[in-house]
Amino acid sequence: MPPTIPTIQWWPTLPILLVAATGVLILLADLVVAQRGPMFSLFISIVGMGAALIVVANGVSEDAAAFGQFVRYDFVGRWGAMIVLACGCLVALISPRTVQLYELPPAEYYALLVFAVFGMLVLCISVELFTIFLSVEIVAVAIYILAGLMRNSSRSAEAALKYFILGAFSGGFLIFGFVFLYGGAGGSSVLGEIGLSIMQIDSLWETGCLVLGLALALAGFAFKLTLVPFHLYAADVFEGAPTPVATLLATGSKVAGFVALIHVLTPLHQHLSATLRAIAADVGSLLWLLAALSIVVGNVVALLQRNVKRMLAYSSIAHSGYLLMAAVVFVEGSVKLAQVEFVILVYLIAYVLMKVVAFGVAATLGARGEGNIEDYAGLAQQSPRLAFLMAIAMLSLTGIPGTIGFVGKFYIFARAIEAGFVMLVILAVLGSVVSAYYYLRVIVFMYMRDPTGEATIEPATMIQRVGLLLAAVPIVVLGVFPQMLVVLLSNV
Amino acid sequence: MGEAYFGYNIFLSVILFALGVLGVLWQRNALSVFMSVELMLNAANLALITFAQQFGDAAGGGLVLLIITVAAAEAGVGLAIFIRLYRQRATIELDKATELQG
Amino acid sequence: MLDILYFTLSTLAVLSACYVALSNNTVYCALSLVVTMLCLAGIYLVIQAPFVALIQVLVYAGAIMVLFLYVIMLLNPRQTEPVVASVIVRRFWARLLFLLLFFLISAWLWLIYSPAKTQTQWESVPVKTIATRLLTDFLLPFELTSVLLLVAIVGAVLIARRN
Repeated sequence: MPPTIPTIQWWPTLPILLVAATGVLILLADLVVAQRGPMFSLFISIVGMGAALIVVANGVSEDAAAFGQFVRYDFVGRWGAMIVLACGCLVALISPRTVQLYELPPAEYYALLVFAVFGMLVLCISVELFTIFLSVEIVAVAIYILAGLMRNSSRSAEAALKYFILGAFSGGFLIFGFVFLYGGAGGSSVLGEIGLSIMQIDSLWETGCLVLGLALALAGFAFKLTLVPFHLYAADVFEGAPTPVATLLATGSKVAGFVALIHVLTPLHQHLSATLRAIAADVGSLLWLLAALSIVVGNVVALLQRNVKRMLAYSSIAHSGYLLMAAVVFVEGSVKLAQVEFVILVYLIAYVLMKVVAFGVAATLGARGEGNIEDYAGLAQQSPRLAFLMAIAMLSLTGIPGTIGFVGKFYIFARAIEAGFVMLVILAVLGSVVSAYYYLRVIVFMYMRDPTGEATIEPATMIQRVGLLLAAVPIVVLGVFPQMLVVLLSNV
Repeated sequence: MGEAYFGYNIFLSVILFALGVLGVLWQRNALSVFMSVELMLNAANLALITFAQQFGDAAGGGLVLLIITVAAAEAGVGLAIFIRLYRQRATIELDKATELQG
Repeated sequence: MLDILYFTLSTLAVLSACYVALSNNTVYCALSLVVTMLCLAGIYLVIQAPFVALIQVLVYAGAIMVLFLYVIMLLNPRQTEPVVASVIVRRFWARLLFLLLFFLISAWLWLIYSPAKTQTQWESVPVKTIATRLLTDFLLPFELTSVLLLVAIVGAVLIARRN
């Protein structure tokens, strides 16, 4: 008898379809439509990703599943999907100056952007090993191409090369680890089933395979999240790639990667036997080490950077460390997932907004914004509004109270202290103090030095202003009224 | 018949994977580095099929197909990047890629 | 008999993999990789997975490696530079990481290996079952590969074209 085709759950599948269709539509429209303005592809991409965002926010109920349990909109996944789609929209909004300046092919650029966001979306909501692997690869391949799109820049080609080598290498670790997870779990690749089979394990072989698989997969994830010591080449890629692409890499890719990491770690959390408890403690220690190293190395090396994008790259490494603290609490402390989820999501929202504004201002300033920090001298006199936005981003990244950066760090540090990781929090606070130097240095240059570069700055286009404001306003508003975040996360 | 080789297959996949990692770090030429990555993916394929055969899971063959597809897509894009870099720099040695200081 | 075949194939695979990892000549590297893949295809036949063996030969060795060889012939890479200090340092770490990975993982697997858990009756799985599983249970990953291939095609043309 013929095999039965699985029934399609329309609402959960709709966001995936919408985003994929948007990407294809951009490519087709470029071929077919004769008269089009430069913002045509941008418009389609925003409409498509925005529609998907609305569907996820309203149409998809909590814990909706699709494709036979391969995709599930659990709390972290659903919010991760919304954050990622918002990232995509924001990055698209800050792109026009870069697309124009470096003569990037607009249709292909926005289409690839949308496909990268597609990969990130599926990565957030997938709870099956090989779906995770494939979405990681879709994001990676789209970004390899986006990084190398600047035709006349050999640095762009080098950035694409380095990211490619890094990505392919880490993909190898990821899939090898997933294969051992599959093997140890007795042939099931859905993470929920793996969790169930963990509870029934009675043999050393299966446990051992699971541990090996988890270790290798962690190495793969560590590359993707640019954790130390897997962070090589990250700064090079950020420096050489077009600035909006670096933004997407720093925001959406990290969000999706982190959500996927939480999904993969969750089955471990459902352990019951004493052996697995010990293993969970070891995994937790490993994560502790990664977090501590990332915080220390990220902050210290950022001090030494003179190029703005490289500084932001190392700052992202440090922020991955702060984020990972939440994962440490999750794995080692015996807290429930729900308690940690909220903290993680707040931090992710904060992180995304701050990075979008910082990179967005750099993108708006064109070649000047992507150079060294000295090039920002006197920006306050030449373009007070851009300088102000950058200042907000820098203050928030440091964690000054009143900004959402402070709220995010506060929640994570509080949760970590509650769980007993005092040493780690001390390291994190010290790291934040150190980071104040290189963030505030930018503000000093902008406001207290005289301009050295060109006298005129092209004002930001309306679209870029919208993007920057959409990201910057919540940084302050949610920073001053953090209760709004609680309401938002509980009700949407 | 084939089941007698389970242990040997897993061991073989580990050797191949480790050799792939060695190659990625050892080789100076971007093409050779990528070929070592392909070696790592092959090792993963071998392990996957070995595990899948043990459980009698037909999905093993399908999943291997997916992994090979990923390898093909990466190869396509990667080789295009190598060609592009070669045109601009006349070399694809990784040690020469130093315009962005590490 | 099957034993001899299996051990010959696996030894050959390991030797040519060594060549892939360590060879200075890019063409030898590529050809060794082809040999490794063909040996693996032979091993897949021994463990009764003929479909995978076929795919390995047709797609992996037959298409992807041919693409590699085209690009190698196009770029004609030559190893003309002497070995610099940074390369020596990197190769030291390479050897270290290799030994670490290999011995740690092998020791781990050897410690936990239990023949009772790992021997069952292996049979060749018909292609129909593979296809059914792929198109019903694993429908989402299957569709994702189509997006992946689209992105790869658009991207490869975009990056490599002359303007």
